[in-house]
Amino acid sequence: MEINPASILTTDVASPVVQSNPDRVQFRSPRPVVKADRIQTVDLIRGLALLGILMMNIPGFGFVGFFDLFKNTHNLDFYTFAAVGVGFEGTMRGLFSMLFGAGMVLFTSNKQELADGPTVAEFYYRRLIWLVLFGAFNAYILMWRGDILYYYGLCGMLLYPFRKTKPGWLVVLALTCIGITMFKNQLYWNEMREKRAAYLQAAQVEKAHKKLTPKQQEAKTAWQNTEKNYKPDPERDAKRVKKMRSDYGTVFSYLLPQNSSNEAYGIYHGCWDMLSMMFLGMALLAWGFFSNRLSTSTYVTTLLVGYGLGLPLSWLFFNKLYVTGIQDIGRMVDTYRVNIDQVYDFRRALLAIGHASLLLLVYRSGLVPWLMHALTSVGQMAFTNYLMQSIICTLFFNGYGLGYFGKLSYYQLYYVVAAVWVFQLIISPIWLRYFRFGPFEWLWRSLTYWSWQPMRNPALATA
Amino acid sequence: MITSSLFSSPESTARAKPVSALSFLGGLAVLGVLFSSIQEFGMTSARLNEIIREPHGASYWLLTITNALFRTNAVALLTVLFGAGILLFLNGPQPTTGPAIPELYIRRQLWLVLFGLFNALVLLAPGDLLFFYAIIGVFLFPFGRLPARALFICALVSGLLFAGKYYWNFAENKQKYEAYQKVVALEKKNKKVKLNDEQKEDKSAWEGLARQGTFDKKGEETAIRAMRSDYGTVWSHLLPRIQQAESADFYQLRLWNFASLLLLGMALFKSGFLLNQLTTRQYAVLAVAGLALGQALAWLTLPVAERSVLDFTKYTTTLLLPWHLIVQPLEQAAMAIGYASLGLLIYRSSLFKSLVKALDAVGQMALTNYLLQSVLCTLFFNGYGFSYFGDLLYYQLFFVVAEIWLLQTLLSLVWLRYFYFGPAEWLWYSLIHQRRLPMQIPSEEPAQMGSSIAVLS
Repeated sequence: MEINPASILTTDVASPVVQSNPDRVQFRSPRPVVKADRIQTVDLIRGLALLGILMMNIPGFGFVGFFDLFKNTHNLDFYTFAAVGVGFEGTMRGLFSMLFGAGMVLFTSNKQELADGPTVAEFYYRRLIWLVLFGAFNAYILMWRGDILYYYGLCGMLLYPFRKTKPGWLVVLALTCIGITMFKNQLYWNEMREKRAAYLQAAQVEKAHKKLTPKQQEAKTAWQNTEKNYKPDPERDAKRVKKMRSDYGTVFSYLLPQNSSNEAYGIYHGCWDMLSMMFLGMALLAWGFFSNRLSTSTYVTTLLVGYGLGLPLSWLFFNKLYVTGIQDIGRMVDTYRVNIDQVYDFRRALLAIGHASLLLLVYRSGLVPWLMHALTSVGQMAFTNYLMQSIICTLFFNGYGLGYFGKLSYYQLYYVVAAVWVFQLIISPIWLRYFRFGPFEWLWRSLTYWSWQPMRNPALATA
Repeated sequence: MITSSLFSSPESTARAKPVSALSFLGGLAVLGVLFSSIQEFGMTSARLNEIIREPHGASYWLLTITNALFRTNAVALLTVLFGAGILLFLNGPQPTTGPAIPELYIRRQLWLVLFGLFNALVLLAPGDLLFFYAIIGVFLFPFGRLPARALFICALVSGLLFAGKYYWNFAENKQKYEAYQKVVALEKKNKKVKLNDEQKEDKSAWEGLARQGTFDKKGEETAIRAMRSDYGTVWSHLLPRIQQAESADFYQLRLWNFASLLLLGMALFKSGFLLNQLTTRQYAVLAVAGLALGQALAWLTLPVAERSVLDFTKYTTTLLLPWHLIVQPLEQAAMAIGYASLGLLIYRSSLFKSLVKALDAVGQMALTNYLLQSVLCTLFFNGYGFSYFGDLLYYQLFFVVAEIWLLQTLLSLVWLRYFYFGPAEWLWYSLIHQRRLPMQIPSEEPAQMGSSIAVLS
């Protein structure tokens, strides 16, 4: 039996236009209206997360001198940093991970198995392998050190056997992943404390005007090197600026070792960061949270709980880590037995749920339908928009483009963010009027199904 | 009763036969891989390099010969067979109840990740392979449908990338040396010159590399002392090494090395080679050609390999290419094909019936035996056991190897008279199927079923 691959590839991000295509409907579940609605809100939240991610990423793309921010905590730069840090740090990545987990469930459950030919599982894994390669492209070719596609592709491979797991167990899995992160955090912190203790001991010996043993000397420099990582380093910054404002080849070889060690160590040690939120997202999807199926009062409750617990926790975290911690890491290590990072995942999960609840409430209220429509389109083309952010930033900041790397102050970066947001909010709905998918979505699909996918919007073709 | 794809149906003897050939080869490979892992279990790599630097005696020749024949090549054979096991599993009969094959396959691989982590982080086997096989097996899942030709091409591409990565590392070292030379020249010109951070880094980067080329007696003593200590000390001593292997080494080298061999195994399975479907003549030709090519490459590049140990600076600066590493993918592939052909010739001939039967049993319990090797070695060599680490001479390691072989062969033969699977297999399959599988063979039923079990599947 030959089936047009386009019809089984109905997406996790189908648009209402695609819905109206009659030869697709037969492969879908019998309740297309509910489904369209459900899928819309997933896209809506994804759109928010996608735009939010740029807000978090922009310093990584173009800012130098992070530690200088803390010299003066009463200027626009620091206020910007504080607002973004308290309100959003980790949450947009968290939402994106949650929706990736939810998307996996939608992808695998939307499709019917063919009599013969590749199974849904095979398409799923093909899709992820391409995603890993797109991630490597984003990191090595578009020069974005903070790429997440590579990690999502690899983490996604773990999710498949859990697609039918009950939400309660998914939460247990999420908590397990958070637990592993916490364990690793604490090991790291214990090491810091040991280092610090050895240094203090050496300092005491020195104070008593005794000669340090080689071991004590080592302990002293070890801590001093750690401390150096928390201090401004103009020389290092200058070198970075010079490199990043050079030609493509220089930037490439400058970032190469960073990219390669990020990808090698990041996935091995850091996959829990993404897996925890992915499992949580799968649970939230199963409960109907992302699909707008809960009552308004429930969303009000999740909003209040999410912000009510999340914001104070976030404020505390921000203050301890960035204000106390960076200004005097030694005192921080002396004072606290527990790594402040231990609250990180809880605070960002709560805040992310708060953000999503707020957005869904706005969506329900019908206040700004044009904005909701635009955000949904952005979310529908999330893959394209994500890569587009890399393309814009790499060309705006790096030497082979406009070379703005390190030229903007912290708050000025957010002018760039606003410009990109406006651009993506306008271009995405327009694009989707004419085409079924974003260009990179189309490429990704074509690679996954290994045949060119139809691109034009069928509604327009018949008109 | 047990209707999973882990078995080909016992009725169809035509199918059962090739699978049994595969499990015989699996037994061969699992025992062979001990040649490679015993080096890591028993002594420091610094000591092994010393054997090459010292005046050439019996130890030198024994090491050189086992390295040429087995060190990477036994691993290659095991990897190829694991690749075949992937397709054996994916092409198995669809179970009538329970999850579909793709689902079972992914579960199989993900549980194997945990077995690998257990082997590395609990049994403290620094050379664990399961972790890599498990993860790359997931990547290769969508490749299962490709025809043999396409699989060969993928294996080739992956092998070329592997060789390319080696070359790249080598070229990087060359650059590091040049940077170091510049700093040294600067210092020579002006004794009082104050180096900036970048220059200091350049200098120490090469010095760190060059240090690997010399024997650090103190370092070795520290390592031996750590390995002969309690479990916690051994664990923290090995942890950085294991993590390095499973993160950076995996990303940079092992992925391409193992992917290439796993794909080769899949291709050899699809083309019928590993299913015992070629003529005896063809196997004889392939055995001779594979082993001859593999050994020729190993011995021709031996001087280069030794130079990298004897004089790292000269090795880096004078050579155009690190030949011994560049040829490794080809050498491994040729040797794996050669060994498999030789094995299949033995399997076919009527002379070695009891050997075939014994190795077949070892292969049916491949996972159990692989893990058992770690258990035995970790207890024999490390401080929480008999503490023989660094204590044996190189040739004495082979007594340990022989003892383990004997033990495993006997144990496998006896175990499979009473049970369907080895204990680790039973646990693995039960986890995959999420129910306790029957283990014990009822006394009236002949122990036929086990013979059709797949290698590591």
